[in-house]
Amino acid sequence: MALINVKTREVQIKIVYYGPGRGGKTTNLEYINHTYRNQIKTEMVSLKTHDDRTLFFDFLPFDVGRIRGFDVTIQLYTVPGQVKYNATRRLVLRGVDGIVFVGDVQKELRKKNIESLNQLYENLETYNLDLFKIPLVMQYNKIDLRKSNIPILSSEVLQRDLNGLLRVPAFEASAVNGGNVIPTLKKIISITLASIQDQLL
Amino acid sequence: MESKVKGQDLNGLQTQITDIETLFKGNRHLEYLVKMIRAIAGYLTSRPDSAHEQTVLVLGTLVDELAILVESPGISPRAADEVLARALHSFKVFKSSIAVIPLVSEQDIQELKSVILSIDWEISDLTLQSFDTVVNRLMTKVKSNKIHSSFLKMMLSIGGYVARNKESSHRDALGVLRSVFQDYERMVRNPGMTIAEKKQLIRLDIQRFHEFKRELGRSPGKVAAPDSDVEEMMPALSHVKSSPSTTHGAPLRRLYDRGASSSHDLPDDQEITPALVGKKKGLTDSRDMMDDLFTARGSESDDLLDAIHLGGINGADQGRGMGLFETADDREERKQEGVKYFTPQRGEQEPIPEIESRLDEFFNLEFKEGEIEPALQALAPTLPDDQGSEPIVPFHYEDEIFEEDEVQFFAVNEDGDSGRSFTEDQGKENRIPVVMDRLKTFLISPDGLNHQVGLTDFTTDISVLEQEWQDDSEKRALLEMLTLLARHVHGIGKASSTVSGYDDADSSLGPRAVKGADSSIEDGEAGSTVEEEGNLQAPAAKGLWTRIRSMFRKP
Repeated sequence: MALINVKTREVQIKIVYYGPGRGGKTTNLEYINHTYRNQIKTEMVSLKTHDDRTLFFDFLPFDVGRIRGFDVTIQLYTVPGQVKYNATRRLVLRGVDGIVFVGDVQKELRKKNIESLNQLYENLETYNLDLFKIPLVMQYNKIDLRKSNIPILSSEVLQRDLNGLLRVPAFEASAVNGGNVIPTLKKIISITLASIQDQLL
Repeated sequence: MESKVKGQDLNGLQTQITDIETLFKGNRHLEYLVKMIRAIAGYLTSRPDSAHEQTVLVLGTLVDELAILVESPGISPRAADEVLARALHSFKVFKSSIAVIPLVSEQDIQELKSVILSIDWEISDLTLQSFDTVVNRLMTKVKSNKIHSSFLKMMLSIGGYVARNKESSHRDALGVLRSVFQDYERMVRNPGMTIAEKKQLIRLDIQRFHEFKRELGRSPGKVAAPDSDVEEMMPALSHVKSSPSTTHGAPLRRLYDRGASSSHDLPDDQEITPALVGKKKGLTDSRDMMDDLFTARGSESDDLLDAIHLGGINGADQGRGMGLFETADDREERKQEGVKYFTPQRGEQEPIPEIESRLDEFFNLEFKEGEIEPALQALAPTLPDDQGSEPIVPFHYEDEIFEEDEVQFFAVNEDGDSGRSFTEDQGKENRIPVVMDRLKTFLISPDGLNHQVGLTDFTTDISVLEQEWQDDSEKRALLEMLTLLARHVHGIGKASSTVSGYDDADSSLGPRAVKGADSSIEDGEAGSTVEEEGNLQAPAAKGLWTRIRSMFRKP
């Protein structure tokens, strides 16, 4: 949940990148960290296995400046996507304010996308949070694979599979190239802040 | 004999037994005894290193009984029967004790699970090699048991297929492997399972295995089916919510022009089953087996992970500082320090321009809202309709999603610790904070009251509160005063003239108060500056608002 300190005029927002394993969540954060390293004063914390898979989570905090006189800090997290680390995923979701669901457009991962989103719903339930109400943005990542002749799902299918009920903003993306990474981030921050803007008085 | 067994001379033992068997042929008691000795010797020969620790002892007992019969030629048939009965009892007890020794130990199962999960984690030469080693070792161990062997053969076969095809393996391959393992694990961990049950279990797995093989045969390539073959699949969350529409209202921002897409990206003509399942069901079918190990909510394992995260990544104090892992006491303490906790909920509320401009500035986004990044503009999307009826809505920053049938408000308790959306029919009480916020806005910046519409809105809000607090005369009196004050401000605005004596009161609610608020923000002070400023300029207004707020604040 968002922390609003009316005395120190500070706001903290926690955004979690969620999705199936190897979908590009960490790549999103790495791109953000790399591209905005001049603005982001803090270090990205990332614990990986020997083969670069997220062990626990990645953590990237940064300040975006003042809005309505409040200093706004955004904390970006990723979760480990591998199925067996659900406890960690659930833990990372604690206190989440906004979520970017990073789906993988590869056809063979269609089922994993759906399972992951279903599990996200359940994990949020443990904190009495509702996926249908929490600020959420969809990102269909690895769209660049289209050029590599690797079979990918059309965005229409992805929209039906993942966004048919949620009806949240969705982005095709290529995190490895930075395509739509920042618009995705901006959107989730924007809608999350919009939901608390009335508190910033 | 015992020394020979200890000396691993099992072949010699077998030869001796054969000789004795021939020697005692025709003597029923001796024949039975020798058969029992042969059976135990056979068992010992089959697993000299892992035989039951009582094997030699029982073998010695049977030999002793044999010696009694051989060395007592005049023994009565009754006495001989008693000797045989004793021997038979020892034999049966031993046989049953052998039966309960698990062929596959707990460690074996854990090892097997570990290597299978390793493959699930990543298909690599290392994980596949480990899998192969473990399964082959188990195969050697259970080669005399057909059911165990069959389970392992299936696993080995699927593992071999995955090893050959690596990441191009059929998407169900690992699922089938896990399924076979799960049944095998169930069998191993359930020693009371009857042979019939075991056979039934493996029969199902063999059937599944063959179906998978047939599926592989049908697949034209190694990879998943092409888009045109996209199978019907339940959309995400269809088990918790239903909707007649699947894509309507879901804005999508594309990255590349569809014209550049390959034939792989053809829209799927098949209708995915509408999400009208209507009942909430568990997701156990689609879950990984390891998931169950971690499903305990708020379990010790979660606590442990908390500690790991706090200590290892954020530092013990950082986690607290971030407010992410606080206890209830911590939270209460922070509330007293002026920290509000608010759970964001998406709604129809547009972000204020300041948010957009601040983010644009931070991210150096020079393009206008709703446009594609400059670098991607050359590939700007043209968006086709989705099957003609339900187009994918092109993404615009202005797009916001909302529940059509719900009018959502945000409510924050007076202590500021919670916010939630709710519908109008969820009780008028929930609207009070919203109404209060609106009234506050009017009082801080009363320009809106100059217009009739603003005054009407204001009085409507007052009416809502009056209705709500009709039993509280003091609150109602204050509301009445507010109404009079608003009408007064409205009258001043309408007159459009400066009336001596009213200037101070007017400006205290207007520009000066706002200025005060601005300066308080700049100074990093809390909103109380508004009140202080108002107090200097117009004591009546400040006192009024403060009194109202204090009355509605929770004790």
